[in-house]
Amino acid sequence: MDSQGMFGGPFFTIEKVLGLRSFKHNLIVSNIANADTPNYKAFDLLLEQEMERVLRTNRNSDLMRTQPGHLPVRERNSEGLKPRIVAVPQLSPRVDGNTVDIDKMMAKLAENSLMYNALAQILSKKFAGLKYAIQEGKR
Amino acid sequence: MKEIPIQKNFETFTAPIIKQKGGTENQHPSFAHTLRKALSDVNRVQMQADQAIQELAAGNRKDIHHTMIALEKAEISFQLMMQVRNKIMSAYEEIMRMQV
Amino acid sequence: MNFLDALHISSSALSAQRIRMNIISSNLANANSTRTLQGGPYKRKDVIFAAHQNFSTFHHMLKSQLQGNLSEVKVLGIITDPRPPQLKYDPQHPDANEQGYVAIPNVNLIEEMVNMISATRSYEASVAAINATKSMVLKALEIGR
Repeated sequence: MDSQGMFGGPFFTIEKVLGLRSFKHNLIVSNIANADTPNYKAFDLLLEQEMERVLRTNRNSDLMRTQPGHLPVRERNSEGLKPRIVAVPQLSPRVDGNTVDIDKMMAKLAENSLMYNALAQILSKKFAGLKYAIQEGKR
Repeated sequence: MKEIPIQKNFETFTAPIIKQKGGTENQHPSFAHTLRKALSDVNRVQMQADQAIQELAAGNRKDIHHTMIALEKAEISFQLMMQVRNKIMSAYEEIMRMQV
Repeated sequence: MNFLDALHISSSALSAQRIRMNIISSNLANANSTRTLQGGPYKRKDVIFAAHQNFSTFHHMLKSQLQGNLSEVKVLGIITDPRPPQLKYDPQHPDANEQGYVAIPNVNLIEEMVNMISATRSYEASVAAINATKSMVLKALEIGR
């Protein structure tokens, strides 16, 4: 997964952002599932900072292994991302200590999955464009 | 008497070629110039599309329609360029096939 | 792999809400049962939910720093409501005690209806989450088709 050359630029960006969005999806689903659990604190993913970092550096950086016997400790997950997970601030307290606002979570679910689908579609369009260029170049 | 109109027509046909030899490109741009300009236009549209994708992915611009329109413009202009390129290639090959 | 986690979490929520619905149905059906096998009136039951982090593989535990915020729902158990039953004065009733009071189950119909609506809404929310997950995965599969 390089960031230069034929698959640089938008391919790199979209892949990273899709990874972020899918992890945010997992968080939202976890919040929705635990909407009735007492004392459950809702979590959210702050996307803007992480996306800025991705767009600025355009590169991964994992921790290096100095000895071959060491396990690969990853501060970030497999895509090289380190998103900031925060507890959602609660607007109105509930008796059972649960901080999940189900309506907000449903809206976030819709928005996140729409953006994911849009980015996936854009990615497939770009791949189709490359395929077309290669196809027409044969003639 | 009848030769004058023919000569006048002949001049209108050859005038652009004669002017181009010594004239500026602004009045009658050469084919190469037009082609170069068209290619840079297509490139500019492609960069705009990439920029739009970047903005959408980063969340700076939330309207998807801008991105989709930019993408579609880039795709169509690229396809048009490819078809023009095919036509140019076949025209060139036909000329090369001509017996001297 | 990410989406398998999401589906697993949503399915655990569906199961938990279904169990809750069953308990609520039992409460509603027995709202007037003054006699049970254990003796005494029917006692209202309730479910206990807990957020449970499921590390099924060693691989998961290494990534637990990020995965550690995801939790599925687990039903810890079913408890009986400790509130005492209501007493109604009806000396003609076969289950009346010496003072003529009948012990009616401590089931509040309004409370059960509200719980039922909440359980239904949570169930539908998890169904919507599963649909969203499915559409995202199918869209990702279409890349390059």
